[in-house]
Amino acid sequence: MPRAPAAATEPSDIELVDNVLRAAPGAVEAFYRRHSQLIYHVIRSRADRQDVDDIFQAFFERMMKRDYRVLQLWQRGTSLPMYLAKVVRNFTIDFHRARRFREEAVGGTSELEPLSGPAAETISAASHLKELRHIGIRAWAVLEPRDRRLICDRLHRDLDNDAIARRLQLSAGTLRTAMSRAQARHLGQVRRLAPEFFPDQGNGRATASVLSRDGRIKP
Amino acid sequence: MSAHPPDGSDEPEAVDPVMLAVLSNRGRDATLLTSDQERLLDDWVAGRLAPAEAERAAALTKQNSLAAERVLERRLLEAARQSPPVPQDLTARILKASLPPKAAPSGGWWRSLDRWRWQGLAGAVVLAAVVAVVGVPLWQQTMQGGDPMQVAMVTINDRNALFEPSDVRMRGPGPQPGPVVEQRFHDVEVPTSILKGLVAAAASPRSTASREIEPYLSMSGDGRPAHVIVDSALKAKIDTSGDSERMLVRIYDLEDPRAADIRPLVGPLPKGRRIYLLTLKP
Repeated sequence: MPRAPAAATEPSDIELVDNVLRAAPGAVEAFYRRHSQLIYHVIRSRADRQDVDDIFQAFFERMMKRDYRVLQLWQRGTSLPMYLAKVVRNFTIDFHRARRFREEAVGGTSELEPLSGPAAETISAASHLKELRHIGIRAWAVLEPRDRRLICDRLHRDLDNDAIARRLQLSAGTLRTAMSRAQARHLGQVRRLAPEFFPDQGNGRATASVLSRDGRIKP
Repeated sequence: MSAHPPDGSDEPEAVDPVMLAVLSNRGRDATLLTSDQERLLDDWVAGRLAPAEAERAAALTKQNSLAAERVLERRLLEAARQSPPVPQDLTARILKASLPPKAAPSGGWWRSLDRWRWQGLAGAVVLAAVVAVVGVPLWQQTMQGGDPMQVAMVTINDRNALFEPSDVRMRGPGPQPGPVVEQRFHDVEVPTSILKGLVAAAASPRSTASREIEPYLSMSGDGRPAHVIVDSALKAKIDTSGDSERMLVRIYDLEDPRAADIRPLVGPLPKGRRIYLLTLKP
């Protein structure tokens, strides 16, 4: 099972979380030093630049206010970075929903309470890999029929180039080009749905801007 | 990440072979990774492999879901590493907010106490002294009385009871697995050093077992000390683990009613303790 890298002298993620939960001196700072960059990256990949710092601060405030309940719910033995990425992603989505609600609805703050609910508490121990596979299928579903066929033959049927070229009646050179472009378009869609797994392009949510509405990558 | 295929290969120019390999994993195999395989995958994600080695890493990622999960985690961490750092002022604000509130400045507060408050304070000090003299030894006795964790070793000859339905994997499409039910065990990666400490404690009954294993046991918190039984098959694997840092261990809480068929395998059980069996995943 994957784990966050930690030098031999540093505490493991389990020890780090245990220290935070029992309020050991310096534990929050140690947790922050190890995982804040990841948390910031996930928020940055999913929020507009002007909101990133606010969401980041709100995330830590929420954790402190709730006595780090989100860390209590982490299933030991699984990857803490992957878990945190999922929690932060849900928190960012909630943040956007709550703001949209504030902008659209008229009412007291009590109406906002259900929307700021504990997204993290609903996280199951389902495999993160399984979730990414679903994202891959969703990304595949919006491709052109020919791209879908190419991706399906390559990734899911595991066919080699000769077999795919025969099935599609293409020359080897044409297939190489078509396959490369299909994979690029597929990955573009995956990046749009799971941007945190891709390196930053210099701007929050920049990945979405390179895709047109119909899901094609703009040249 | 080696984005370029080997010379003369028919492979198209892969835009992101790491992510493509993860996406093509079907989750059918979940064999525990060796330390060499872990290194191979880490080097692949970091872009430190030659094309032939990269192909080996890609094949492993496609076949083994644990490999794919590791690659995905490394990928996430690598992407975060390349991301701009958290602004320093933001870090300072958050860390400041995380500090426990300091006590109010106390300079000269006692000067404002009048006579009857002094008497009350003196009474409280006397009471605290009584509690310290009488209560603390009692409390220590309560905390220490038979509390150290016990460790024992067991050899299980008939291992049939330890095979779980979830361990059976079928080849081919086959019928879809049923709904996920809560297991009577949990599989946890435990640092090998902790496991070696347990084995050593089991071998010499006079030594005290370290309690580092407790966070991995998911203890119920009912206050009873733990009694850990180590399967000798697990010991054999620990002995041959080499320099591997962690090891996958299957843990049964023997008080779980669903573990009734396992309890006879480990012999008489001590009373007043929470009993756990540490064994291998078959």
